Amino acid sequence: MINQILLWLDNSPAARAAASWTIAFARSTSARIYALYVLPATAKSRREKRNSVQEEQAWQVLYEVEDEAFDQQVRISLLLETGDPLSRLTEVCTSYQPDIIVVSADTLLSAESLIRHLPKPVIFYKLDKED
Amino acid sequence: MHKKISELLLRSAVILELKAQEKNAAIQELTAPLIAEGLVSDEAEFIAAILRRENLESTGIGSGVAIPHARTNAVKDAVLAFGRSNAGVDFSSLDGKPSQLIFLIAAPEAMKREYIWTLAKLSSLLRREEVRTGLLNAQTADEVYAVVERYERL
Repeated sequence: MINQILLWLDNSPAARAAASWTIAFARSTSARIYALYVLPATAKSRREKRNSVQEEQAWQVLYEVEDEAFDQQVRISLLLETGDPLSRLTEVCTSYQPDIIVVSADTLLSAESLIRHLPKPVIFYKLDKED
Repeated sequence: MHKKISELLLRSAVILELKAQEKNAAIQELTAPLIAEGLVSDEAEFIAAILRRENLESTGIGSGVAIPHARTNAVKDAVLAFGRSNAGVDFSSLDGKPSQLIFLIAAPEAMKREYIWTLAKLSSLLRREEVRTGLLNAQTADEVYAVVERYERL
């Protein structure tokens, strides 16, 4: 039984396609989605402007996914974190106890690391040529 | 070109002491000035649209902030309302904290890009501790505008 899905997002077309697939899957199983976007940590004083732009882009991705989920009547919570991506992903898994994790196959995270570190099954969504 | 947050924020909808103690009442209190200004044409439909979203997901983004929002044709133009609650209102935030700073976003159905941009910009601003502190300490509506204007330029 799949009740909770953790969706890894970034600012790529592949991640958006993975989100659409996840929303459709969540709808069919009445599951809740936790949508997670992790921003890399940078020195605040040097890169405040860039951080702000990156953060706005991250929120835009999250809210676009939220809007799509809302249209499909799928429950979703948005999470924006900062830090090492794999560490944050692992922490969020521990906090929210998803049944599965969905990641775009094009993510910069290594598939081997994800499978080795994450405590739950991982689905890698590969961008279809028709997406 | 998107409007700035300070341009979208309706002056008569800056409420420094919300009377409401629970979510639905807070949403109604923040909606009232939008109706008075003629920006919401159908109060029942607008509040229903906000609550449909609230029932499906939490708009409490944590750190004492909530951003209830709706895109519906009951709204004539994109607009923001702001309310501050000393005790905080439960918006079912993932961090479990009540929301003291509540921004309500209303937009017409057709303004999806503006709506998403406003949500993103506002969420980004409100993640900054100095913005939240500034809004919590503001004594007047002018000071609320000053905090928003100062940090949205960065």
